[in-house]
Amino acid sequence: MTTYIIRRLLLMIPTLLGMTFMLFAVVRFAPGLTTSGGQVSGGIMQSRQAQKQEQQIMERRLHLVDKNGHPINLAMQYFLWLKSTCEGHLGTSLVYQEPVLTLIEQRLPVTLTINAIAMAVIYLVSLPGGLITALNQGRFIDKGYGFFSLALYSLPVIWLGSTLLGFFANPQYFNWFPSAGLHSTNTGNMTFFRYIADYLYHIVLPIVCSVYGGFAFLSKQIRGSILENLQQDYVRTARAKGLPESTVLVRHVFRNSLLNLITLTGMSLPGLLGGSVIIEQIFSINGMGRLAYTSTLSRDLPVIQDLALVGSVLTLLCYLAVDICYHLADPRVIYD
Amino acid sequence: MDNRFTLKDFIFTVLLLLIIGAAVMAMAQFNYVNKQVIALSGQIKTLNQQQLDQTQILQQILRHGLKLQSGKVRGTTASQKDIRETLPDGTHYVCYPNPPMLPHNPYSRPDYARGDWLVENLGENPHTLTPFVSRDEGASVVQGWVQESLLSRDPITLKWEPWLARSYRISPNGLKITFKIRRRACFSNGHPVTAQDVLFSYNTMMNPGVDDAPQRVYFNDVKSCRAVGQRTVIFTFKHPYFKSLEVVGGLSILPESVYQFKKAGEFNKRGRLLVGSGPYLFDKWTSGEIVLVRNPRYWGPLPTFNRIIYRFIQNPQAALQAFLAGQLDTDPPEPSQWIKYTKQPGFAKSHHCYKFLTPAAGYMFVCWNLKKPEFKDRLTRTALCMLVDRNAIIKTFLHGLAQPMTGPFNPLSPQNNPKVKPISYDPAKARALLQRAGWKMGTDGILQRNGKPFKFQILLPSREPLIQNICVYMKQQFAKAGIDMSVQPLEFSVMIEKIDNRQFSSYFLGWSGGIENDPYQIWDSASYADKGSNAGDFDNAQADKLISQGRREMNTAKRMAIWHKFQAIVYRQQPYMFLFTSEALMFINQRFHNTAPVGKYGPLEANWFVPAKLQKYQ
Repeated sequence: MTTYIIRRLLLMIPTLLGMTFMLFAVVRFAPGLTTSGGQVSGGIMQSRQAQKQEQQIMERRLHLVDKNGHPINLAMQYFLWLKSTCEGHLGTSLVYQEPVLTLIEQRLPVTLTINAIAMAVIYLVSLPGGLITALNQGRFIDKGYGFFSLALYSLPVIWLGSTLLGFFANPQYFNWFPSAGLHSTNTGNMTFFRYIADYLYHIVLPIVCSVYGGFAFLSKQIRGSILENLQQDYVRTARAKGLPESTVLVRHVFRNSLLNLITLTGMSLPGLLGGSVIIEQIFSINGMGRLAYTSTLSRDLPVIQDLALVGSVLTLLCYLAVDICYHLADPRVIYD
Repeated sequence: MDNRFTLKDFIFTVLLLLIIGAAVMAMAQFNYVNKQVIALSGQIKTLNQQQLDQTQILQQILRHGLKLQSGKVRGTTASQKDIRETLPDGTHYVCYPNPPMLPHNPYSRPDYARGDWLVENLGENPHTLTPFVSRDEGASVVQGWVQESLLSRDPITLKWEPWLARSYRISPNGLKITFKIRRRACFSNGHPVTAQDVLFSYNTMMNPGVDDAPQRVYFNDVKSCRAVGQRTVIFTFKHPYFKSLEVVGGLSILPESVYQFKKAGEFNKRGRLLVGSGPYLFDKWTSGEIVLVRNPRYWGPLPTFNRIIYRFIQNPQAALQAFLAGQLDTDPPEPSQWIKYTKQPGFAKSHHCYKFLTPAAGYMFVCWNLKKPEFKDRLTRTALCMLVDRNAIIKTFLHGLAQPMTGPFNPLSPQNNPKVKPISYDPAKARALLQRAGWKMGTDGILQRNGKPFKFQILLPSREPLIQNICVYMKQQFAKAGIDMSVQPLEFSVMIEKIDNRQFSSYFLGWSGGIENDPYQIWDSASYADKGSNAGDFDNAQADKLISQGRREMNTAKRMAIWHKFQAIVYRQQPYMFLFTSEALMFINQRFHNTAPVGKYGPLEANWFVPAKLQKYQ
């Protein structure tokens, strides 16, 4: 196993190099200029002379030109970026004037907390949902659950988010939840428990938007996996041994069915850090999704590049973690 | 399969329960400490209030010129009048012994009370709050409460008046401006505002390592800045320029003791350092809000609100709902929201609703590329303007909440020439003009001149549905006259790149406004070269001459006459199709009083207050 992990880690190097090259090329050849100065509000432009000076600063910071203003060729630009990334310097945002790592530090906890809660809710609903529907295959509860979860799956987030906001955070209909942000304005006067309750109250609508689409996918996976395992010989053996049905289902069938979940969970981990652009925009949450979105619009190249790079590295690591988890969960899986 | 509950399981369970118990106890402990902190902060608030009262008494003593002498309180009759005069040698001198009070200020009203919070929406989270370096509008709103400049603009007369400066003196040739700083003016850390701080602020602005290039451009004409003694600052200029006073008088003054730096990079990166002499202190900036608290050491009239909070709600629907639910105290609605809510019976009674024009508002336009043969002649451009019913655009797309433009100056600005009348919508006359310009109808129903059909493309920003809708309307109008306009929405940065490289026939955008704009940047023929702002290549010798004259004319009345002539020329030439300037809209929570718009700036938050009985926050 150790040899396998080392081999995989070594293989990651060329993959990562390829990724950095692609990222660099995509970002550098995208049309448009960095527009931190020209805030686009109703299409109003800023002074052009100012924009020009701005452009010169941007070019210097992006290593497009050297200290004397002479252009640096593309290959050199790529190596300069790669060098500083390898040294652990993730670059500085052109717009925020702060290191990209600091920006990630500020926004990651927001996104991570919401996504972790959302993921927990999805699993809490989908696992029993999948189990119940599998055990009641073809019955009303199976068909009803399948219908509703698929119907939810097909609803676009942007529509449901705006609808929830328009009805459940609107004093004209049901003023049950706040319409924006993660906290009330006067949190300074709140005790600890009140503060937590205030936070949970604020994230109800964003969490609803984050979870509803996940039920169908996960439940169907679990249902399929359970149905497959129920046909296996070991289930018949367990029943023949006289084990109670609940033990057969929970200890044998359900546990074995969870193996498929390792892949699903592993693949969804990088997404935990990404954040949803749409949900964060609708509910005015300052998370990673909004950072990626605003950086793309303002062509904040270091942020776009580094966010994509962090995402790529995490994905690679998660793939490796999934493989290792498979081995741990099922000792029959051997890679060496 | 072993299903027994073994010792191992027991130990694990006990451990788990212990961990959960410890966590609950830690939270309870934290909660208890939190309660203590809240109780303490209540006591601190009381102390602050007492300090506030003492400061207020002291200020009243100073304001009314009372002197303590031999243990008795005696009023002085020193006649300290405001002076605004032009001396016989042509020197312009303005002196205000006391800082000017805002018009319609609430301090003498019987129900006036200090306290409560003002919670507003900033839209997008600012990128940085570093003075000079920040670019976004939100940052300048926050900085406006914390930092001040030597002069401030009167909201009614729009004249620059002494603020941190007690007086200013402009030499007859306009090349030297001398400021005297008030004795009382001090920063929030207690240090007095000195000439050295002004010099430091100027030097920081001019430091090439500081990322303030867009603002530094305006100081290009400043030759030197000199501090004489503790309280006198002299700025000299390379040329007389009508904006000189505004440029140096509007410079934010930073405390050198706080902001001093060795490398310019240090200054750029202090995104969360904001200190000044203003009425509020920068308290904190979280991912959801920026909090400002009252500056207890403020040297001017004590501000009303205990706190000003700015939240970041980008979605206009969410912002309006937060306002309706009382989570925001103000909201600038969209035109459609304005129409919907002000029509509702009772809404206008339970909220303050204001719509107003400000001279600082920008305007929308269509720029023609005058280098293209189809837009080269004035007749064609005038005909295009006649084909578009701007009043219908305002009525249909903006719900009547805008004003048509008759040139590059805002209708409320003194620069605007009221004699210039808008070109009226007249398709028949437009067709006649097109015929005179040499356009003839082709067999395919498209106008032709010299064998070339009248076809062109208009660029517009893709994220602006209003602009897209107007373009669709214009396309229909032009098609009726035999002109084929294709609409090309582009991402903003891509569009700017195309405009910079002059790869366009026409484009639809807006310019931000100002009370008195320098037309050089957009309209002088020299601004075409080097990716300048005169992208359409407007080149008119008479206009160039007037721009040059106006920029050097220091007498306001004479300068306005020049701008009026200039506007008449530009409007006649139609290098842009000048469309409209939007009205500003504002909903304000009913508990705020004295909110009516003042002068030409709209509602001024500094004038608002909440009577004691209606106050919501402590």
